[in-house]
Amino acid sequence: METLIFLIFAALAVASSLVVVAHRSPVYATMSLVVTLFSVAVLFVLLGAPFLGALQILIYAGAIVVLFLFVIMLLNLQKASAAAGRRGGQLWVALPGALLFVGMVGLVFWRAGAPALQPLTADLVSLKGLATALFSDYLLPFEIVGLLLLVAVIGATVAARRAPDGEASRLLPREDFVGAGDEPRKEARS
Amino acid sequence: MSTHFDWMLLLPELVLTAAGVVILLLEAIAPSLRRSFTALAVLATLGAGYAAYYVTPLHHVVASRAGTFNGLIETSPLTFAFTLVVLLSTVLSLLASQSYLRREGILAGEYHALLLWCAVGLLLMLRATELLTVFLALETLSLCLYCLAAFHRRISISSEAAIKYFLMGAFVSAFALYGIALVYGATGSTRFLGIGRALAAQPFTNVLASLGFLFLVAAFGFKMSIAPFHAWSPDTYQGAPSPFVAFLSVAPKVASALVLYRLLEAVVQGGTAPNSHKWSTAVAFLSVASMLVGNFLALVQRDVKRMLAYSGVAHMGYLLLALVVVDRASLMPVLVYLLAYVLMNAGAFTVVSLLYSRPGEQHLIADLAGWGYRYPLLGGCLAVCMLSLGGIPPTLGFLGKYVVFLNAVGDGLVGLAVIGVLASLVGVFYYLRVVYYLYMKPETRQPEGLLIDVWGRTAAVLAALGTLALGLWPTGLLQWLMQATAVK
Repeated sequence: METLIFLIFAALAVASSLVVVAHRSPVYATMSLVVTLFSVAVLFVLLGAPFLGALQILIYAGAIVVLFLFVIMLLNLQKASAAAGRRGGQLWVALPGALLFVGMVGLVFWRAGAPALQPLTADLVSLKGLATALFSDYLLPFEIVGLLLLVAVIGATVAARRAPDGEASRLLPREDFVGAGDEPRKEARS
Repeated sequence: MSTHFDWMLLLPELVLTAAGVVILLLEAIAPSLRRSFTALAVLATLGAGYAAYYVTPLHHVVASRAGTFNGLIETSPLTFAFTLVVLLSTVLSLLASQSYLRREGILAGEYHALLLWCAVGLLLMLRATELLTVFLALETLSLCLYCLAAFHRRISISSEAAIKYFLMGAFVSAFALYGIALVYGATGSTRFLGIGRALAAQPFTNVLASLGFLFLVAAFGFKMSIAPFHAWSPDTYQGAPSPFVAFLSVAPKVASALVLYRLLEAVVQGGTAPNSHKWSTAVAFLSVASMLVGNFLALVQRDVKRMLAYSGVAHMGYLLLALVVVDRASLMPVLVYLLAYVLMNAGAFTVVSLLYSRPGEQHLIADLAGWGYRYPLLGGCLAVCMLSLGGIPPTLGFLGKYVVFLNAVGDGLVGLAVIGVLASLVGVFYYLRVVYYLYMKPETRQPEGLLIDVWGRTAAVLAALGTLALGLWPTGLLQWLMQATAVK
């Protein structure tokens, strides 16, 4: 029974992620991303990590995909434009590359098989075990994530901010700019 | 399970992070202080250097204080030496930035804050002893780098540079993460030590781990712009703000080189691991490919920033020569080479950012014709940096190449060393061409709209003087680095 559920949702995850990549309409792609993420959440539950599964649905399938949809709606991306969709030449490069990659990965897994590792114990996967690991053993990475989020917020505002004064500021008052000599003429300008 | 956190160990990172936050707040409440942000940021960087000195056990043999942060970061003379190299490049880039930002009218605190946070990411990356921490530090660094590359919003070439870097960088991050997952799957550990132990214990070739390592090497090869992964660097260097490129072209490579060393060390740690010699071959291949691709493509460049980008690929090729046979002894050449590369490359980009006033256009080498006489100080600094990049004797660049090639010969890699010497001979040609244009061609261009301030001059002079002085009197430096890298 468990194997059957695994097979169904694993196949669903792979198929829907193919749709994400291949579908022309960004809305359809995003919606099938929800299916992918949901299937992965089911796999988490099957592995005995229901909390991770719940987080996966809440954060990824919920918040992040909704954000994607908002962006798509705001940018009014109905379909990838015809020019962007032409990928004749690209396909001939990408396809052998992809096949080579899939072959390599497949060969590795086929040759190596699954390494003999102990499954995680239940108390590690539990909410308490997760929290303990996060706030004691892995406190440092946890704090780095905090900095990472700060950087992301500041970086997003920097990247999205309007260019100061548009083109006008190209013609700055140049009184303190150097003409011929090595010395700046005037230092004060605010 | 450890619950002992010695926050003092993170003092350098904390100083830099706090300085970034303070600058951001000042930008919001007192924008008139913008001119002083450079000084503030430089002070914070120097403070971080002192903090690193303060927390590092310099005189006794301690690799990491066990138990603190669960042993996730290392505090040792080795990380201290790498920290100083990173902070040096941060200072040079900060000094060079002021005039560029003022000239372009984009002076804002976010620039300094993001640059300081880049340094935080780098310090964490080179101190981390575990792959997840490395990855998070790498992401912090990368986000800052993407935003800084796009900082000049008015010119489209800057956005193009950032988009190219971001798309490939995001892809590479996924590769790194997948690589970490595979290595974890194969060895059951994300720590370099644990990975090494697990690999040494496995009698057979571990294909899964090899694939993971391949992804990781590709990811850090991308950050170091090693030959097959270098395609982003010329476009990004050309479009991104020049003083930021002085940072981008050196600092991430410093930390990535140490991470790469730790990865390869974990692979060969077992000594008997059957595929460790294959990694030597792979690194040798990357090294030769970088030297050839970098040097020959740099030959045909007319844009000085693109030329420096391709020459950077070649330099990483020389650097990799030291990592073909990975042992503790290869760290000293790596450090000397990185220090030389930081000084000379950051110096060159500083002068480029001061002498070219139109960041949206090409930075033609021919435009520098005759400017060695018009700007004797900056021209001289550029010439010194170019000679050092070419590996001409009394400079640190020569010393770096010398110790790297010597190390390669000592490891029995005479053939590779010969290729390296021949490749660097090709390199001399295009570096000398810049000097030739500076001093032996008649002027073709009048300076226009340049803003050369005292900060920028300081950076250029610091870099050139450092290159010369350390090249002339290297004894102290070499002794110190020997000590720093020998402690285990």
